[in-house]
Amino acid sequence: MNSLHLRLSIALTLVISVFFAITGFMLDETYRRSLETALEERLQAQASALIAAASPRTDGGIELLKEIPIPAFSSPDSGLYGQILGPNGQVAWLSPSSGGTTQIAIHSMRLGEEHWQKHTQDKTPLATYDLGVSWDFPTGDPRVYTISVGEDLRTLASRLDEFRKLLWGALLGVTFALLVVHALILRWGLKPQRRAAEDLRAIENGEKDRLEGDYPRELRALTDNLNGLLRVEREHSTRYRHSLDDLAHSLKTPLAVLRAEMENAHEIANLNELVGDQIDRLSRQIDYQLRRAAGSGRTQLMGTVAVKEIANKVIAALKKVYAEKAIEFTLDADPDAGFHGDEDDLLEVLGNVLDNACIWCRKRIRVEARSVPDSGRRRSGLKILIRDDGPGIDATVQDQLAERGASAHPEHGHGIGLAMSRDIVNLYGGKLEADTCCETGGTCVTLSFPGLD
Amino acid sequence: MRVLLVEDEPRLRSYLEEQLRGQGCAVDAASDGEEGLYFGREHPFDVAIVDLGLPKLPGIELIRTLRSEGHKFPILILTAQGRWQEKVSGLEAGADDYLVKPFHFEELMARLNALVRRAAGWSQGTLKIGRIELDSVKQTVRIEDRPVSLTAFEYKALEYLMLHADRVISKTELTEHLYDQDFDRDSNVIEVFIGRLRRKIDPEGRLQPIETLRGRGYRFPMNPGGS
Repeated sequence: MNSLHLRLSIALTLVISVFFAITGFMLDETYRRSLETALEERLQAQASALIAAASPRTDGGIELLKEIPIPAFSSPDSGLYGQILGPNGQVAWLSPSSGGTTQIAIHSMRLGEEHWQKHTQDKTPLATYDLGVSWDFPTGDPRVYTISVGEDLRTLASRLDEFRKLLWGALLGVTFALLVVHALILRWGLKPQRRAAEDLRAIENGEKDRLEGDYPRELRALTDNLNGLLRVEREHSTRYRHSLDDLAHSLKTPLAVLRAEMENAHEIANLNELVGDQIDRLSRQIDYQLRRAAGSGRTQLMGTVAVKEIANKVIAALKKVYAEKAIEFTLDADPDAGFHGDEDDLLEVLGNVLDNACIWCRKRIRVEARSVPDSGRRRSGLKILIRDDGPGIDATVQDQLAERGASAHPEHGHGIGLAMSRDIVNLYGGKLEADTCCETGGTCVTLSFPGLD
Repeated sequence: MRVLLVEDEPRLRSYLEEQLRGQGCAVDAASDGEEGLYFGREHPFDVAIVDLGLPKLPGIELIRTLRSEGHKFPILILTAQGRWQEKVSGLEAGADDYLVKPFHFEELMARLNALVRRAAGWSQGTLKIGRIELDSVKQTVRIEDRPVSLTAFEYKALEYLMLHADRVISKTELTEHLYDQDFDRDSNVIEVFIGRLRRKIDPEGRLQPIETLRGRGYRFPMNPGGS
């Protein structure tokens, strides 16, 4: 399901409907039960009243001593019927409402026996209560009479119907009202998301350049990351543009030299060397600028690259290239030492620094990678140390490395690799430092990267 | 040495072919990855030069395929980008060394020599067998410390024989792995060249560094000095 709104709507509608349906059914059932219980109690009470008012005759009949305090027994349309059966099962008394015919089915009860029933007599649905009772006779032998009271179920049915109409009508109304309210709440609740979508469209149209505004916590993860991405990508394109400008400038210079010399050239031999030199220079500049521009520097939404793995790759490659030098590499990396950024950038940095170490070292290169916890940040920082047993670092190279920014264009081969690595490391807010180790006398290059949230 | 050259830029390819032949190498040049694979499978090479940006079959795929089929000759990759990602990929796929374009031919030749030396099991720059010393880096020969001047072909022939010392090498094998423009005229001219080589390095016939085995070929014994 692709719509958040639709998802929530359908879920809520279902839940509300089911809730109200269940509520309705429970209310219905409860009311029906209470009606039936009331009916049962009524019938029992009426039976008791009949017993109190009746007095048996010696011939087995029944005489009513006084007026039955239940007027319904007397009126023909009351729907309430009473009957008393004698010990031999014959009808001893019928209530006037019966109209002379037995309305209640004949069941003789034993003493103390009760019987509830619902049945239809002559198209009239009835609920009946039969009770077996006996009076004390002077002769002493107990005679069992059956007292029966019956009520027309249609009254109960009509009451239930009325209730049901009221109940379901009200519930439907409330459900509908609730659904309308929830639709409004959804609209209001999803408003920040609509606002974010509008802001994004504004960015696409070029009206804005970041997602401004106060977004709720849940959207913050998305909007903050998006803003980070936008910023980095913009910086990246700016850098590309600058690099291309620098490249164009630095290519034009050797080309201009060539042109001038060609016009000047007296000897072909000199020209050969000159052309060769300028070609080298052109090539170096192209490499440098393009590799610089390609550095991503993106930390947003990047996974963490295992430094150990990349270091091993570079070392394996360098072992092949410098096979004749038979260099001893030692790699000591924390298993959780990670680089939060582009894998290719790490390859480029390590490749350059290690290549440089291979050129200058005598026999041994040691690589150390440590995970450095950065307080307040979720992901740890990183520190990589590369030490070789060569002659140590040249002061001019050190100065060049210390220079910041685009002004440090190394013109000659020395140090170009380190300068490249420094530029990439800076993109990530890190630092590259090169020094001469006091113990071994060789060069020690330290790369440090900050932690990330 | 017999070189497989896989380079799609025609001017660079013909330039390299010419230069390599001038150094006495036999060259098979392919202009795309598929042709390169075909050659690589068909002939025995001492070393290969593979450009990474190839049409039809990318350089890295070519290298991987050759390695997976058991071809063990060393491979040097040519890359236009200086990026480490490319270098590492190429080396991981099975290459042994790389060169960034544009390069000096001398640099290429030096690396090829180093690779062939390494593959033959020689890790030093110099091959010394008996009284004959070959400087593979400078491509020079000294007999009993006396430098001897050889043509490029003669040097390569001697180097080949010495790198495969104690092995019988047929005339066919020699002609396949080495090159001289005279080969095109007459394939039996190898005898003449070996004769000339012998006269240069062993003028008095004392050392007998190159044995002729009638009907089979030539051999450079590990213990030269007469039988």
